[in-house]
Amino acid sequence: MTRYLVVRVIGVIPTLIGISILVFGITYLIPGDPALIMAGSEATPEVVANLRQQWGLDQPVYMRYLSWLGNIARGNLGDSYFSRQSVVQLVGNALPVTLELAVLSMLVAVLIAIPTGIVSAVKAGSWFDLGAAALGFIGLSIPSFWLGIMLIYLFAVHFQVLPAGGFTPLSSGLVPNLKSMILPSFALGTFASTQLMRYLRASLLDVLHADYIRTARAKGMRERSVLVAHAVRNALIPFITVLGVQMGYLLGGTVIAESVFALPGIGRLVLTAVLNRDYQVATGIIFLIAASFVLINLVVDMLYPVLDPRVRLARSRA
Amino acid sequence: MAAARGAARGKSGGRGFIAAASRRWPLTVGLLFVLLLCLVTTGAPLLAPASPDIQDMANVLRSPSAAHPFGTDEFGRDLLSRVLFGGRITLLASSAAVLLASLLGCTIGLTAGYFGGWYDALVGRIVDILFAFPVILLGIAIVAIMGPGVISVVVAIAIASFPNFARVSRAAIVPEKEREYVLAAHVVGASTWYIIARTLLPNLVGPLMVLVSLGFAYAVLYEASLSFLGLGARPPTPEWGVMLSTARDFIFQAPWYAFFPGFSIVLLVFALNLVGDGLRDAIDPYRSRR
Repeated sequence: MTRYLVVRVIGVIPTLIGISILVFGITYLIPGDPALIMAGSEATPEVVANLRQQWGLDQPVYMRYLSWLGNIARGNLGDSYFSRQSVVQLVGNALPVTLELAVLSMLVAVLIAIPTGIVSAVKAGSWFDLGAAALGFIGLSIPSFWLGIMLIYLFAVHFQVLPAGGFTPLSSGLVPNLKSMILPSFALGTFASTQLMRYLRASLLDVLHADYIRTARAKGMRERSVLVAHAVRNALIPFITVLGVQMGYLLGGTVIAESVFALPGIGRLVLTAVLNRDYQVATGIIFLIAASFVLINLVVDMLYPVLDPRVRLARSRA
Repeated sequence: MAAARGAARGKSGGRGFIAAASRRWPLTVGLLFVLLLCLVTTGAPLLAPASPDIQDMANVLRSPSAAHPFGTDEFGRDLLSRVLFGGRITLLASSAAVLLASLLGCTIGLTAGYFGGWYDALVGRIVDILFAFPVILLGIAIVAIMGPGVISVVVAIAIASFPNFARVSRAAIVPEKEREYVLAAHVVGASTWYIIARTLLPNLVGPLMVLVSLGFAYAVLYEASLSFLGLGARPPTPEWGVMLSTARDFIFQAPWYAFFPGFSIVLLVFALNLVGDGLRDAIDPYRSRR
C-alpha cells in the first residue's frame, strides 16, 4: 500500500517538470522583450539594460529556467510587470472566488447527476431514462457562456430575482454571496452534470449485471438494500475518478463563467493578463492551474484504494 | 446512443419499436443538420437579406420583425445576415482545427503504438502533460504567444485536441497489430509504412471517424468560447462567439441579440454530437444493442 502511494507520488514529478518546461517555454516564445515592455516605449537603452539585468533576462535560457523553477519551489511566482504586485498575492486575492465557483458548480453537477444517473440506470429503457438521456444530450451541446447569458436574461432581466453579474464577498453575508454565485454555478455545473450522469448510468448498469448483485438478490435481499449497499456503492468508485477529471475542466471553465458574470477570479486575472501582455502573471497562473490539475488527479488516484478494497489488495500484492 | 441502449432492454413491442427507430435516426438527422448548416453558411451571400456590415443607425437594437427576422444589433446591422455569415468562421476554423488535430494525433498515436519502446513512452508522457492543461487555458497560453486571431484559435484547438486522437489511435493499433493479417503482410515483405498506412489504418477508420465527429463538436464549442473571450476573431467580424460577447452587454435592452448566435452554436454542436453518437452505434452494433 505504502509502496503504491510512493510510486504514484514519484510518478507525478516528471509530469510536473514537463509542465514547468512547457510553461517556461511559453514565456520564452512570447515575442517582444519583457524589459522593453516594462520600461515603456520612451525608455533609454541604459534603463532597458538595467531592467534586463535586474530581472535576470541577460542570462542563458537554462539558467533562467532553473532560477524560475527555484523561485516556484520557494513559492515565488514572480511579480506583475505593471502593478509590481507579486503573482502569489494577486492569485491569493482571486483564488477564493474561483474556488467557491468551482466547488459550487461541482455541487450543482453532482446534485443533478447522482439522482438522475441512478434512476436512469435502475429504470433503463423507461420514459424517464429516455428523457434524461435526451436532456443530457442537449445539455452537452450548450456552451456554458450562452447558458449563462440566457440565465442572466431569465433571472436578472425578466424575473429580477438574482444579480446579472458581479461578486459579493462572503463578508457581506452568506445570502448575498450565494445569490451572486447561483447563476454562474448553474451555467458551469450543468455541462459537467450531463457527462457525470451518463457516466454514472453506464457504470451502474454494468454493476447491476454483476454476479454479486444476482447473488444478493438470490439470497432474498431487499431490492433497496441491493441497490444502496452493493450497486450504487460500487458504481460510485469509478465515478470519483471522473469527478477528479471534471474538477480540472471546471477550473478551466471558470475562465468563461467569470468573464460572463464579471467575477474577479483567477480566470479573469489570467485573461486580462494575457490581453495586457502581463506575461509574468499569465504564466504563473497557467502553471498553477495545470499543476493543481495534476495534483487533484493524484489525490483522486490515492483515494481509489481507500474506497475500493480490491484495488488495495491487488496493488499491495503486486 | 444511451437512449437506444436503454430502450433495447425493454421487452415489450412498443419499446422495441422505439429502440429500432432511435437506432438510425440520430446519424441521419445529425448529418442532414450539419449539411444544412454548411449550405446555409456557404450560401450566406445569396441567402442573407442584407450585407452583414451595413450599418443603419436609425434602426438600432430593433426586435425581430418581417424586415429583420432576427432583429438588429447596436449598429442597426441585420442580425440574420450576421448569424449566417458568422457561421463561416466557426465552421472553417473548427474543421481546420480538427483536421490538424486528427492528422497530428493519429500520426503520433499510430507510430507510438506500432513501434512502442522509448518513443511510445515519450509520447505517453507528452500526452499526459498536455492533458493537464484545460483547453481554454491552453488556448490562452497560445494566444499569448501568437497574439489574438482566428489562426491562433485554430492552433490552440489543434494542440489541445491532438492528444485525444493520439491516445485513441494508439489504443486502437496496439491490439490490432498482433492480428494475423498484419503478420501476413510482414511475411509477404510489406514495408513498415505500408503496413501502418495501407493495412492497419483502414481497419481503424471506424473509431477514428467517431472521434473526428465528436472532436468537431468540441472544436466548435472551443472556437466560440475563445472568440467570446476576445482571443479569436475580433469585432466587427461577424462570428458567433464575438457576437455573443457584445450581446451580453445589451441583454437588458435586446435579449434576442444573444439568443440567435447562441442557438446556432447549440444546433451545430447538437448535430455533430448526433453524428458522432450515431456513427459509434453503427460501427459498434454491440454497444447499441447491448
